[in-house]
Amino acid sequence: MLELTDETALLLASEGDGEAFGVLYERYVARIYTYIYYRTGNSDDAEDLTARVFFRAMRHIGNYRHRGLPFSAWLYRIAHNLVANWYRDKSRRREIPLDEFVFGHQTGDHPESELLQNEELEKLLKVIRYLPADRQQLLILKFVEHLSNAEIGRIMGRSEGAVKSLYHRTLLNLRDEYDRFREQTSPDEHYSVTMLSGNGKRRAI
Amino acid sequence: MRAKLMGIIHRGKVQDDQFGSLEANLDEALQPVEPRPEYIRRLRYQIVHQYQPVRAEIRAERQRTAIILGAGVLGAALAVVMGVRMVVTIVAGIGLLLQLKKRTELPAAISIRS
Repeated sequence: MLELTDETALLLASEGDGEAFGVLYERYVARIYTYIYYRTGNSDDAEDLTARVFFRAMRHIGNYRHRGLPFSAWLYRIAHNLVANWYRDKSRRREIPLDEFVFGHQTGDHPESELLQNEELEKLLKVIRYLPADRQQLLILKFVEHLSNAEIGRIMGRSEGAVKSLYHRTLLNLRDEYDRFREQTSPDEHYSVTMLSGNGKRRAI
Repeated sequence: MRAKLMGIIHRGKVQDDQFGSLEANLDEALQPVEPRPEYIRRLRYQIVHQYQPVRAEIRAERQRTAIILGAGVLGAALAVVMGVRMVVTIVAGIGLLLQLKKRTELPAAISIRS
């Protein structure tokens, strides 16, 4: 069963084979979880949203049509939309200031908390977290998934050239914001510049 | 010109170097994150066991699609038949009108000759 290709598993899953969908789930759950984890910044929301991604995929698998795009592109699209909805709902409830953001301050015994001990890297993650959604997605796909520009383009629905250009603009933006963040944050100081929040809307922090 | 070009090249190099360190930091900061194995197992169980209703939904969706397709084909066939009948009726009507016209013109021609 584990030898199934994505296409075969998709075909079987769309015929109603739960185990085939289980194979696809096992293949992609970590990638989707990682993507959502870096977009939301905490493991509880990442677990909740990852579950929602797969339940939504399961419900709509009958409508999935293979058009040359990898199955992961479809899952990332669902994840992207769910994270956007999550940001919208969250902004209605409460705004989290940047200095309250909890990357690297995970409670519990997740191995990922060990990775983010370096203060500089934490700062960098905080700045990434406030980039527009498409730029965050691009960075995650490039640095976590190590995908090429062409593969990222297929997932994001852009040409390879557009991805390259977006990547360049993202690095420029990130470098400037990161430098400003490092200059402005001292133990008694808060980051107080206008940045683009995670859902792409500009806001003052 | 050469100095300008060298300046552009130099700026590009500096920029690449700066991005190089930024990219190295990004590479270090953005590491794959493994979800808890217990969470993966639990979610898999839920998904596979909740797959049954979706199967019924797929079947119902296919039935709905088949009914809509059938109705569409039947409607199209009916429209074609009605169209053909309409053309036949129009042609027949025109023929009838022409014949009536011929009959009314014929006695007048006979009376002129006589």
